[in-house]
Order: sequence, then C-alpha cells, then structure tokens
Amino acid sequence: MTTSRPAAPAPVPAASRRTRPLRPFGRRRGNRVSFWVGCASILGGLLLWQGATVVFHVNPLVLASPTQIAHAFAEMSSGGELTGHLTTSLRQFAVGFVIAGALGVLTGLLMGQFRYVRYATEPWVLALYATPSIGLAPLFIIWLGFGFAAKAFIVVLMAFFPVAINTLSGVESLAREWKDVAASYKANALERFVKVALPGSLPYIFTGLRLAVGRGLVGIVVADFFGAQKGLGFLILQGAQQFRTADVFVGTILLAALGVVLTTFLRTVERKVCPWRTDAS
Amino acid sequence: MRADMAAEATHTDTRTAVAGGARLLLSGVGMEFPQPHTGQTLTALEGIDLEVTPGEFIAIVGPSGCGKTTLLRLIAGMTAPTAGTIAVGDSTAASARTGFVFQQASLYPWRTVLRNVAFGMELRTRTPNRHERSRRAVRRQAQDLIRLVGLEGFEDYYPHQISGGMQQRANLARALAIAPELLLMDEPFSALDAQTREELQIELQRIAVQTNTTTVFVTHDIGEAVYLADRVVILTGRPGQVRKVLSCPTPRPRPLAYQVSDEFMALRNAAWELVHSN
Repeated sequence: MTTSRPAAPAPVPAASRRTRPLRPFGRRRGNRVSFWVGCASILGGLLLWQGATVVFHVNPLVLASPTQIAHAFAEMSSGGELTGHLTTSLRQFAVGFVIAGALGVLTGLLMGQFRYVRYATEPWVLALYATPSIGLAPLFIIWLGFGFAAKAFIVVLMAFFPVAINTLSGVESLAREWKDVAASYKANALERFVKVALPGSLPYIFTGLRLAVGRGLVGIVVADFFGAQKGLGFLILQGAQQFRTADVFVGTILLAALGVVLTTFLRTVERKVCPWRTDAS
Repeated sequence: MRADMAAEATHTDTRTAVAGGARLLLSGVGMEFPQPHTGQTLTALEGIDLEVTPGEFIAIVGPSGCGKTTLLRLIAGMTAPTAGTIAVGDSTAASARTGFVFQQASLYPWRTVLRNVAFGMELRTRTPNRHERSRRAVRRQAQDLIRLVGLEGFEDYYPHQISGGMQQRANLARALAIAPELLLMDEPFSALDAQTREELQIELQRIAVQTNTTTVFVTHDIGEAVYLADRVVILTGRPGQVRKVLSCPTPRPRPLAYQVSDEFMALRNAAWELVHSN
C-alpha cells in the first residue's frame, strides 16, 4: 500500500516545515486497528450465532447455523453450481451498472450545468427516484422477456438515480471561486464542463456510485424473483421455496460480499482518480 | 525571510513570454443590479471614467461596499456593464486576455500547482493554436512561471499541501501564464499574515516591473495601495464613483523603506481622508 502512492517530490528544506506530510501516520495505524476490531466483531457474531443454534436446538429449516451454511457453500461451489449463479448475476450487474453510471454522471452534469435541462428533467428524476421503481420490475420482464436485457435494465433503473442525483449535488456544490476562475479566463461551455464541473464533482460522483452498488444488487435479486433459471436471486428464491435456509444465506452472504468488494474497489479507484482528497484529513 | 524566497531571487531573467500590458479605457461605466422582490435597481457603480496606460499599476480603494470588486469583474469581462464601455487595447473586456488573481484560495484542488498554473493555457480561447496547447508546451511554459513566482520544487504539490502565501504565488503564476494584456487582482493578499503579505508585495512589484503588465489592484488596505501603485483611484461610497486619483511619483519597484518616507505618509494620509470623508 505504501509504495502504490506517488512519492512526494523532495521538498526544499525551508519549505518542508510548511508542508503537511503526505501520509499522516496516525490515520494509517487507525485504519489497521479498525480493520482488526471489525474482524473480531464479525467473528464474535458468528460464534454467537453458532452457539445459539446449538444451545436452543434451532430447526435448520428455520435458521441455518454458520457451519451448515459453510457446508452448503462448499457443496455448491465444488459442483460449479455457485459459479454459474455468480457469473450470471455479475454479468447482469456489470452491464447495468456501467450503463447507469455513465448515464447518471452525464445526466447529473448536464442538469447542473444547463438550467433548462434541469428544469425539464428534474421533476422526472425526483419522481422516479422516489418511486419504489422495483415495483415496476414485472413490467420490464413483460416488455423485455426473462433474459439478460430485462435484468440489466432493472439494474440500470435502480442504480441510475443515486448517481445522477449525487452528480447534480456535486455540480451545485462547486465553489463559486472555481467557476469565477473559469469565467475570468473565458473558458467556453465545454471547457467549463470538462475542466471544472466534472473534476470538481468527482467526490460526489463516487458517493453516488457507491450508493448505486447497493441498489443495483437489490435490482439483480428482485429481477431474479420474477423469473430466472440462474442467478443469485434465483438461488435465494429456490432455497426459500424448498426450505433450504442455508442456500438462502449462501446467496445473501455472496451478495453482501459482492457489495463490500465492489465498494472497496470503488474506494480504491477514487483514491487513484482523486489523489488530492486522499491526504486531506 | 524564508530560504525559498532568497533562493528565488536569483531567477530574475526567466520570463520572456509576457506580451506586455495593454491600455485600459473605461468611459462612463455604470452598473445596476435589479433588486429581488422590490423591482427597484441598485446602482453599484456610476459614471466611471478611467484611463490606464500600458504597463501602469493602478490600485483601487474605497469604503467597503463601494463596488471595487464589481468594477474589477466588469473589467475582466465576467459581467457586462449596464452603462458605458470598457476597452482593453484594441479589444473589448469580454474578449481581452485578462489574468485574474482572486482573494481566496481559488486554485483547483484537483490540480497540482503546475497544472493549476497551466489551466489558462489549456483553454481554447487563450491558446487557439492546438499545437501550443499540447501537454509538453504547456508544461514548459508553466514551469517558467513557477520559477518566476518562486515556487520551484512545488510543481507536483496539491494546493492544500502548500501555505496560503504559496497558494497566492501559484494564483499569480496562473494569471501571468496566459501572457495577459491586463492583470487584475482582487484583494489578493488580504487573507495572508503580515509578513507573508510583505514578501508578496515585494515579489509582485518585481514581477509587475519585469513583465510590464498593466495591473489593476483592488484592496481595502490604503497603505498597500499607495505602496504598490503608480496611481491610486479612490472611489466614493455607493454608488461608486471616482472621487479622486492620486499619483505616487516614486518609480517602482519600491523598497520597503518607502513606507516610512514622507511622500508615502503624505499620500497615505491624503488617501485615508478621501476614503473616510463621506
């Protein structure tokens, strides 16, 4: 980790006094401590769960214990069944998420930069964001069939709005001075868009993308509920219908892990793309 | 005095690209703002006539709220005046090459010092020739400017990693990077501590003389205005009108000791009287 970030240029001796260190040490150590405490907490939770199922003789049809879940996981992954569900869902998610991200950023920037675009689109965006649009999922299945397109589209529908709305607030929160500088240097509309609005709202865009991960994952699960032969949502639904609670948990845990991995990945990308924010403590 | 300041004094002959200043001509400039709700208008500026010769350094002072900043924004072409005309050289304010140094930290936090300085040069309006907008050409020029303002070695730092004084140096470099016909400064040193302000005043004088850029400097510090400027324009309270223009005959750059000379004292007192007699 320490080697991955660009090294600071060797500062002039007199100036090093004035410059804050690029990598505050305390924060790193704090991260490590928080990581281990977090791990211990999860481990403790699992132990409690396992203990409770043993002590209270919980029926595995109602609640599977962690070991039963692990067993189910091992069984399914050795048969290759799990990989199939996972790749199907991942592919739907990836396509939907990329489309939603690109469209969301573009829409947010256009709404923020051009008043009339905003006047025209804002009622739609706000109304659709507030709508529990997942309720429309069966409609998209009717229109687009049970295949890939409908599922990716549902992910787009779920992930688009947090990206668009956060991008818009990013553009709105641009410092007045930043816009003044661009105006005083007579930047044209495209330059203001690309050189000020986009980089200035990147932190907000990443917040939107992180929120979109969660909503997009909900999207693939729910889409599977309305008809699928494969996918994590299908796995969960099937497990529930056959009272295989361990399977339900396997699907859910995989989705949670996916969420964590994707969010962490986005944080890493953000750190690369917005290096100026990393050392602002 | 900091060591980087002393080191930088040896780089006095680095800049050649600055085109030199243009003449600035304001005739009958006025500005009215519509007031919300009441339907009335607020007159911020009225009948401003002013001629600034090429290479001249003008300071504008006046009671707070007299429209100093508004006037500067009009000259920069950021807003159009509601009355009168503004000419910069042969062009209008809206199309002239003006460098603007703002009061607060207006550097882009996502750009390094070097890329902040390069900002103006990357713009199509400033550099119509595609070839000259190339990353390498821009980088080379920006480096010259960074040397000029004494920020060598800090090219790859982000604004939050350097001090306020260094940020304003970078701001100045960014403004000079487009080889401005006109350099506009809006209370650029007001947020700095006294010592840094003094250092930058000396730097600014050296750079202004060396580049011969026509400069309009807005400040609320009357001493600073008299110290830096060839002429001090004193505005009245709202609506802002030119009350008086004072000439400071001592040639620039002026040593710090100028601030204890009789001429400085007399001019500062006169300016003070004019600003405060409303």
